Amino acid sequence: MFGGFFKSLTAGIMIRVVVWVCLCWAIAAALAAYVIHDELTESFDSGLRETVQGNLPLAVEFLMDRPANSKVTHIPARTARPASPDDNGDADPEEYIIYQIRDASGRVLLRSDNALETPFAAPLIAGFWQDDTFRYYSEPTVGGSLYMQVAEPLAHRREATFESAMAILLPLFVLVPVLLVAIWFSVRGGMRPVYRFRQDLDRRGAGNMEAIAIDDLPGELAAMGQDVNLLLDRLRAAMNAERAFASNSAHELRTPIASMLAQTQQLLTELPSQSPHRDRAMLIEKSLGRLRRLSEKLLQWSRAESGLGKTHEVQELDPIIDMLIEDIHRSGRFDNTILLHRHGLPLRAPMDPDAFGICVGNLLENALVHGDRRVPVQVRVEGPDRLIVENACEKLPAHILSKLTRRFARHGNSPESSGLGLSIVVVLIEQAGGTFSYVSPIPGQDTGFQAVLTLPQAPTGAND
Amino acid sequence: MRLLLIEDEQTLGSALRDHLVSEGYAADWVENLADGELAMKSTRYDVILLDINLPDGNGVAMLRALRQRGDATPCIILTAQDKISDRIAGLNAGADDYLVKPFDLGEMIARLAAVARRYTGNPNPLLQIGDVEIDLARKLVFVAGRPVELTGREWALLDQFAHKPGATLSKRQLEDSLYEFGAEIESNTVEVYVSRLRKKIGSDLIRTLRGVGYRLEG
Repeated sequence: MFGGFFKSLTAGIMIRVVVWVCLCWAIAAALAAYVIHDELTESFDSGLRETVQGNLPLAVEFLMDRPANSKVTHIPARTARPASPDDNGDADPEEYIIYQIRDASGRVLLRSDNALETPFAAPLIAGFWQDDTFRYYSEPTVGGSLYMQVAEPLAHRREATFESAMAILLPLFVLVPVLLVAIWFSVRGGMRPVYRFRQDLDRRGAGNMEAIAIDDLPGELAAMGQDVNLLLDRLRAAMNAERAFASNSAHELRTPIASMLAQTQQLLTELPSQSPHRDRAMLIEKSLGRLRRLSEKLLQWSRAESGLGKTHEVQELDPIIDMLIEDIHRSGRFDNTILLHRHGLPLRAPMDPDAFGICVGNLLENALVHGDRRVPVQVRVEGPDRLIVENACEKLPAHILSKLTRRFARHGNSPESSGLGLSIVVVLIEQAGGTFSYVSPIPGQDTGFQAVLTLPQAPTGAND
Repeated sequence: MRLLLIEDEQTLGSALRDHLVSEGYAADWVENLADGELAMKSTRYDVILLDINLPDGNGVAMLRALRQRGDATPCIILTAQDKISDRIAGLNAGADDYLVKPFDLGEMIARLAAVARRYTGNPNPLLQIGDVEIDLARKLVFVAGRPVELTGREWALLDQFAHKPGATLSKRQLEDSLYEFGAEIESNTVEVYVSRLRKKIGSDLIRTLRGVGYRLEG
């Protein structure tokens, strides 16, 4: 379901942008965490130093003022729980800092309520010192007889750094979905000319080689549109040349075929009825007849392929039907007749007269060739846009009906059938914007074949 | 019936001319418009068979000029151009029929006969005069219900009479319908064929008007 989406340009842009944003954000967060860590260390160290400098005179004064036999070794804390070097920093924030007042030998004289009695691991050297658990600051009194050491759990510092980094990182989890939606809408909006361009291209095909409108395309696509139009130009020229060749070839074939057919038929006229060459001449005449019909259909096919059916002008089509029926009757090619019935308005539609003539000619020919010759072919004109041709025949099975509009699909063995007529009708009527349908048996009957040509609708108010 | 065939394709032209002659028509065949114009100036034709694409011009243009001059000689266009628009242009220019190549010679003869009948004002291909029945479409003659065999020339003469029953046809007109250009015509040819026809279909059917011509009694 989403396979197509993930292959789309929109998805590609979305994924790339989100990955880059996340990557950049993560790098920025890491850099910020590093800077924050340094700044926090500096700030916490400053806090330790200020604690010592603020409390050392008070502690010294306390030691000097207490009675000689005083057993007080620590200043009572606001909480009972003692901190220890094992404390991982979960203590009350107020109790993060612990301290000891030690003499020069290292003995603990005074300690904070939450400090252990055992001396800190830090040596009695002025300045900062650190082990795996605590950060220490030591400062001696002026004479160097007493040292005040304060310690702060490193876990507290790590927690502060971690929380600061997370404060930068966490918005990213909200930002990503917002970003995805924003990019999707932006890209969809930005890609609109691309979709229009694609739809324009989709509409191009064998019957439509018109240039694509590039005036409203963005700069990036306009160049591509120009290239596509150049390509369409070349393709159109090549196809026109090919079609012209096919059309001219078929056209140029007519006269030599006419010559051969006329010479052969004249030969048959001149040959005595008992001549041994008569049968051979008749075979040649028959083959030429088939060649004539095939070249005729190929010419029609090449015209259909060239997009003959399309026109914007509304045409009066009734006279063409009259002309074609009269032509068929005059030709004497078929034994059965055609009966024309007109209902409603005159037949008029935006369809090329030649394309319409080819369609109707093929429908009539199909009905005459495959219909029962004892029953007239019925042509019903239901103006302004429907033409129905019906012929009597057995009901056609579904598997034959489904193949009738395929090229070179022939039903029956009539030498008059080329297998192209109905497929030409389909191409031409679809080019014109109409439809072709057929059914067997004829609706309301048990037998027969009905072909319905529905012409494109004339635009409202169109006169010609 | 005398025809003018204007067709530049030699293989086709010769076959058409030969077939027309074998069907009893007097056919003159020329290969370009200039020769066609020349032929029409010297001879009155009953029907013109006209190709469109000719070496010295367009047949439709010539036909249009012909009609503008008031010449109403029936004309059938023979062409490889089968578009509806071409056909309409040909008919609008004054053609009586339009035959697209390739065509059957039988179809050409049928259309020719149909056009000729239309022009003689007798569209019915069956003509009954007394006990003589003439089927112009099928080229058959019956006397009292029995078929009569006619040669090509005899049929050509009878066809000419049958298209204008009751009208007087001059000897020259009848000669024109029997022979194409260049054929040797004896001075008494028409009399010979009229005499043969009378023997086959009845002596009273064709009347001689001395010094004027002949007439089929209608």
